[in-house]
Amino acid sequence: MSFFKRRLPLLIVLFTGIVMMISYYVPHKPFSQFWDGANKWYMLIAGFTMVLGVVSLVRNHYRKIRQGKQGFGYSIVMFIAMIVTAVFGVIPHSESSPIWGNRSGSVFMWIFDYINTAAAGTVYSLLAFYIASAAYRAFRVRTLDATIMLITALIVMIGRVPYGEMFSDFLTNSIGKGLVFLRLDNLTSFFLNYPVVATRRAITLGLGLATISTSLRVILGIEKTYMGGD
Amino acid sequence: MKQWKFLSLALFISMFVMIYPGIGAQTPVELKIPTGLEVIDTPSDSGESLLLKWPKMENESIQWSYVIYRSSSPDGEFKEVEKIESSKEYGSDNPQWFGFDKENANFHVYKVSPVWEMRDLVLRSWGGKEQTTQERVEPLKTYYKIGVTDGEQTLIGKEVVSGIPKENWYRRDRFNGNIILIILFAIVITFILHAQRNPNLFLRKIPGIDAVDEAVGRATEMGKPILYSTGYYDISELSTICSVNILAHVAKKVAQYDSRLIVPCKYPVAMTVCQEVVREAYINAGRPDAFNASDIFFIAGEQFSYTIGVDSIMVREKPAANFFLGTFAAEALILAETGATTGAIQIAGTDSNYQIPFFIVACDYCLISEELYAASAYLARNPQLIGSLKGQDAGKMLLFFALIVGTLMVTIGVFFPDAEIFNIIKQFFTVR
Repeated sequence: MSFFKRRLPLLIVLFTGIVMMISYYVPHKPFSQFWDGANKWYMLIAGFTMVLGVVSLVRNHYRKIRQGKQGFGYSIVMFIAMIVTAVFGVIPHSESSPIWGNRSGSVFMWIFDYINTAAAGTVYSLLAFYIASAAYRAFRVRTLDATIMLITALIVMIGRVPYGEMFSDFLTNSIGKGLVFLRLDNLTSFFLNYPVVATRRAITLGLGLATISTSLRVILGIEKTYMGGD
Repeated sequence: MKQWKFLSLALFISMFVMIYPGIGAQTPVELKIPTGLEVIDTPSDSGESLLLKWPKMENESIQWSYVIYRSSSPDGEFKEVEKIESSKEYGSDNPQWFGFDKENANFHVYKVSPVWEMRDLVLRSWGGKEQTTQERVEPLKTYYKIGVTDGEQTLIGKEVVSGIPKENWYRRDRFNGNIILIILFAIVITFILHAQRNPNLFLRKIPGIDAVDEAVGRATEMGKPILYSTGYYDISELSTICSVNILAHVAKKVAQYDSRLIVPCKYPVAMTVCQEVVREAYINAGRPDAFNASDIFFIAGEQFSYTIGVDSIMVREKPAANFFLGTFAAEALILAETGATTGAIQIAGTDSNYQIPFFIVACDYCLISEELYAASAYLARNPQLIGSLKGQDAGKMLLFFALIVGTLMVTIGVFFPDAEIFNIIKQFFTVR
């Protein structure tokens, strides 16, 4: 049992990891085919595992309804939506009955376009309000760091809109051309092109190294917590 | 009056001649058929393309374009496949294939695809019609010609060249990456071996991970559950694997404290792995009876359906601690802000650069990028894992040194444009 549960998965990880690494540098068969083949296999297996997801979803919501938990009404809506969408999507499309299937003009696509996409768009639009509340929390002037961030953010925000440019024009014209580097649009470009890019690159470099190190740990079987156990 | 008119006209014409580049600046160059066309196999590829190479013509005008024609037989119909501006596509643009010889600026190179032998593939949908599509079998011997055009007139060469692409055994253009990877692997393995002999290596503190105990303890005291999200991606992503590793440690603590852990998942495979990992953690903590598989469940595979599902759990169940560890996209702030409004202690960690600021603002602790990958090793305190972290730090020092040297060399190279060494160094660090 230990072989099938521990050693075999580790051997598969070792073999797959090494072959995938080689196939990145060797474009010849069979390595060139292994990369595409492995990705196709993954897609196939992941497709089948959707059954696991549906079973989990049904079990979870059925339990909520049976126990009459808070918000169980939403579970009933979920069941109705799931069954209606699945029925209209699975039955094949034909010339005589265009409402079935998943082509344009079918009920399935109508549900997708006018319910799912609209609902997703609504949730996404909430982000604007959350950004406002998060910005309020971040920009409260309590420390030196927060003050620097507030000033920088104000410069970048004003510098990115046409009013910032107009304001800068006014300042440059009234104070003098020698202070052109202090224009808000120039300061904004400076902040975005130098400190921000430098920080992001530092993070990306660190992440790249961490990816190499972690991949090596996983491939060599040093890191095996994801298989369960210590 | 006439003189003024004449002078104004003369002035207007002379200004027009000076400003308009096509007049007065140069006389039109006679269009000539390009010669010396060669076909070579593309180095370092998987046998899917060929390179066409032809010398730069004397008096080549920037207003010309080269036209490439292709056919499957020498006597067959040659069809136009590409039009290339004469000022582009030089051998010197591709040092990965031709090196750094100055002569490379004297010829043009263009990558072309061959004609393929195709076979029919019949797809039969369930209850639907049969659909025939085609699939590539192997590349055929393909014939090429080259022509030149100035927009009005096109001259096509008589020379016909042919070739069949071959598979290559090594990506020479990725040689630099390969060398750097081998060096970094060697460093990490050296430190792992070193850590086995000397297990007491110093590791800097990661406050976000140290706060795990505090978060689980707080949830236990309040009698509320703990919510854990592994992020936007499936288990095939390294960030999700790292998140699952941290989940194992969190689950063990939860089992020891006899609290409740809720893990809503976006992918069924990740859900199955999480269930297995949490089950094992409960067994290792000596509490297999406390494990509840139904607390680790699938919500939805769609981004915002998942987001709103997790949000509703936070609002209804009011977890005392939220963990958002993995790769997140636009949902990061929606999740973190909802969690903040419920008053939960929040520990987040992500490798997505754009979401880090959101997590820093909305969460109590944030693991920045590589800390997410290091967290599992930090928690396990296994000498081999800690050794790999130290190796990672040594690799960082190496890159830091390479950055300084590289910047200096490229800066000095500006003053010595003829010195090839600077170009070689620059190209070595160019990612392809």
